[in-house]
Amino acid sequence: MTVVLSSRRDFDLETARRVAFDGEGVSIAPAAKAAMDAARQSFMAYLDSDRTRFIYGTTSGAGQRAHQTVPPDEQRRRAQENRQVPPGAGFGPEALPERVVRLIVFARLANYVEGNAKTRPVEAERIAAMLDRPMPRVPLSGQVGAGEILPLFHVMSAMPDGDVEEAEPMARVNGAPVSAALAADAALTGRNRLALATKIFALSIEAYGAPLAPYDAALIRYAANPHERHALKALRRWLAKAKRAGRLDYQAPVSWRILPTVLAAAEEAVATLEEVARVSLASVTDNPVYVLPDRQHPLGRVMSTGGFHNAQATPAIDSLNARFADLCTLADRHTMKLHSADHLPESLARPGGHPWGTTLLSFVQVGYGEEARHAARRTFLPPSEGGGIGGQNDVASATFFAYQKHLKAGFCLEATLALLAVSASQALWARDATPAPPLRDFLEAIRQHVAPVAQRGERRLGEELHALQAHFSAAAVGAGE
Amino acid sequence: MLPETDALAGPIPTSMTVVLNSAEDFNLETLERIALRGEPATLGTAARDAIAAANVAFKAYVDANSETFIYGVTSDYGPHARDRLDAETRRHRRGLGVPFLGLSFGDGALGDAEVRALMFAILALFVRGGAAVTPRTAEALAKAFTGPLPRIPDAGLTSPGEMMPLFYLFRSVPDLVTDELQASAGNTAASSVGMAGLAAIRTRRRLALAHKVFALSFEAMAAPLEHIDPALKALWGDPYEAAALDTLGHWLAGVADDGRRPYQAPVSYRILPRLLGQGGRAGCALARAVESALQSMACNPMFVSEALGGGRARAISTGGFHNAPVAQALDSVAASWVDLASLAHRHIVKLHRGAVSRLPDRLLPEGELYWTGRSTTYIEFVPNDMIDEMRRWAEPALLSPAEPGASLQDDVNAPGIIACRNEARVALLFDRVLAILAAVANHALKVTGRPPPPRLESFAAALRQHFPPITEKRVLGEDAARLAAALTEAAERDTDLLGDEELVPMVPGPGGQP
Repeated sequence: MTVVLSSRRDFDLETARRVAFDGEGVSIAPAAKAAMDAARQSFMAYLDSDRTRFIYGTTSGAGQRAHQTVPPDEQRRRAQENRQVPPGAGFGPEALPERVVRLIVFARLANYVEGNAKTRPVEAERIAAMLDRPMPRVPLSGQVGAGEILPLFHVMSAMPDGDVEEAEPMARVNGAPVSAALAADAALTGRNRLALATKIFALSIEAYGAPLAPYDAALIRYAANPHERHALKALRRWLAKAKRAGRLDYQAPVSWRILPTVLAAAEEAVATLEEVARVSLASVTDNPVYVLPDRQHPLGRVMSTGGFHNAQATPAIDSLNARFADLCTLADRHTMKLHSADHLPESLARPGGHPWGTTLLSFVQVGYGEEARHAARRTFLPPSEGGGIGGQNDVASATFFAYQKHLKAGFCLEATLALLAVSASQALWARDATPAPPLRDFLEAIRQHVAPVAQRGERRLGEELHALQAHFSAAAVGAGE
Repeated sequence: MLPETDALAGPIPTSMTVVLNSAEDFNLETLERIALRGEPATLGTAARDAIAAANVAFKAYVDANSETFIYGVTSDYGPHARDRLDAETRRHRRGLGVPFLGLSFGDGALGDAEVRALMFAILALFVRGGAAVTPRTAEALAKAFTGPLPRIPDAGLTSPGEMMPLFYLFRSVPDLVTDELQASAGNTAASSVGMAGLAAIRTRRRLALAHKVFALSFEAMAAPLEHIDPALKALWGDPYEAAALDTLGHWLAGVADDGRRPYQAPVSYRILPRLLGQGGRAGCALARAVESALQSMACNPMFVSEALGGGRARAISTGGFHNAPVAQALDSVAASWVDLASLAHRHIVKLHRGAVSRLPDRLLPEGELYWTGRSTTYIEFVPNDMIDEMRRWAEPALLSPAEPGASLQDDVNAPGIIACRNEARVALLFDRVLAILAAVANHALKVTGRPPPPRLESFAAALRQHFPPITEKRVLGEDAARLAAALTEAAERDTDLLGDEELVPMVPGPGGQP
């Protein structure tokens, strides 16, 4: 399958998922080629009508040289000098996942398909062709600067070689496709991770024998917050037909009762990120941007803007990181309480088992939670004016940094959920109980990775837990668990 | 020249006594009237009837289910929740009143508005019905708006749930703790929801002020108008950024096209609409979170009567004392203030750098040297520690990993009160940074002999009242402090810096839509 791009409407989370997760390529529809052709012609007419007019990067220098003019007879030659995007300068031991690099290439095309990039169609076709090749390596570090040229140098330097004309080099590396891609990836994986978390917390409710009252259907009707209703419904789906007998006959600790509101905040964070990703994927963010001709401006207009700075992706990713940290805290609390509840077998061991049972799992939670909370620190506009030579590029975009922390937050969430899942499995095994019917297959899947622990003996629990976390991670970038 | 727009809406209508009848009556508009403007509240007939009916139904439910676990009613509290109480013990316990008279302390006390907002949120709970309080309890709370307010310390209030502030309220309004049967006298997230409501109201106004000050700075820099061209709305496709573009365009309508910078302004000017748009997104989310919370205040225990549409009547234990979406929304607003303050500081610095701004270097009057004190230069250092402090306060209010107390039942703190405190402090510091930018932008226009944008003339004049033009050396910090205080006041009520009629529906307001 190939994603066909006709207009900006074709850039959404579903097409993003197909390109990034399913590895599909893209093709430029004839309508888009025609639009780009027409826009290129009108742009060239606009440029030729006055080659002394300020058009950033075409009739002027770039960056701190924006105030310098490029003489009309040098403008094409200057463009041709930038035929190849230079490789990036950031470096570091870790790299962006390949699926995300694919998303950047995909998102890059939103500026092109309706002609706002003011290039010939061949430029878009060259970019589209990148998706049929191996992706370049993009280091996770050293990518925070004004606009998104730093990561785009890494990506677009892999663009197939070909001749260039005026304004085309700048269109390759300006704009904010990286933020759109990072937001889209965090939204797609965040949705899957939240679904996984909901299922594991439902299993924990069953394992603890917690009363079902905090998830009562009446609360769905009562709640005015749609995210709270969504969270309650999601929990109740997994608890359908749960046994009412044999549960704790008084309220469970706060950490169980607040699950709906904490999951609601996470649901809102994911929903906001989805909205941000949808908007960002389909937006035209170039600087300078070409506004297509209209009655008042028959040749169109070229405007300098701040489109290259996506101000919404960073806080949206930050909020999800914070909610992941909160879910880690609840998972930690549940793991500890499962191992210390008066009404459950001590240390979740069966009679005759090792007296320590699986209490080690509760110890292990601590570190992942600390890492998650560290990853949840806010990503503010960087104070540094590095790169702001001459006063022009004086504010950096920090989406890449927020996403870097998101990868850590996502891992920590999966790790704490793996620990809680195994603890819940152990609690059910220790008291010889079965969870609500919708959770039984899932419980089996957990036990295929980490079987209940009768005797620790030679069990390599760390390796088993890591395999379970890796299973969760694969589900996050697939169709979900 | 930018097109004229007519985006401004009228002021919020007000009257003297707010009549509250249903959950829908609890919104940001009524909160503003009662908590900020000090209007009295009264329960309408429908509310009184509904409250009475819920209490009767609850009493019948308890009579018929005396062996059923109902937290704090048929059971003991907190760490002793597993212990059941018989009817006689229950009566005896109720007669003892509140177990704690107040445990918290800090630097001072919560403001009157904050206390009234807390009471307003509890009243919302009572009217919604889940607390099943007696009519006398509800009436007592409604009447308490006209009496002396309790003094609630401003710190030491965070716990699982939000009972700590209530101990003070219960002392001040003894009828809240009746010896009659009721589900809950306020075990809900009232403090954080109420205070977050105030933050939402102030955010709307503060963001409106920010648009005006940044528009003045934009004009001071003579930034090209294409940076805020309405055509960007369709290209960016974001309603909040579109709102910011419209608002900036409104304030800059009528400014001259000629004489502006011949090339693009620094990034900090070009990204203004995107940062302000994010502020709008955060503010709208806060407004939505608060209004939905007010209209569905939950408590523990919570009585679900047949009238609430939940089938058979039942009392359920919930986590209604913890509102995570509100805390999240507050965090986002606080983060937005930090980024806007950083942007403001960039503007302040750039306006003073002649090589960048193309204005007189250090904004010095012609022929002056900076040590003559007739410029705003050196004031650009002042925001440094403010922004540093803001960045610390704006870290998210995460769930604490600590076991908060001795009770293994009460094992997770509610972060809402912390989030409110953090946002309030960050917002106050933001006003200070914004005040400096306003003073500098006004000075930049004066020193270059240019008028403010036509629609900002009265605003610029009001700024001069607080921070007069610099004609001789004086203590500028005192003027800046006065202006900052005036901005903080304007973030709360109609003043010469921001009239109610200037609040636009495109920035966060009741309903939360741009």
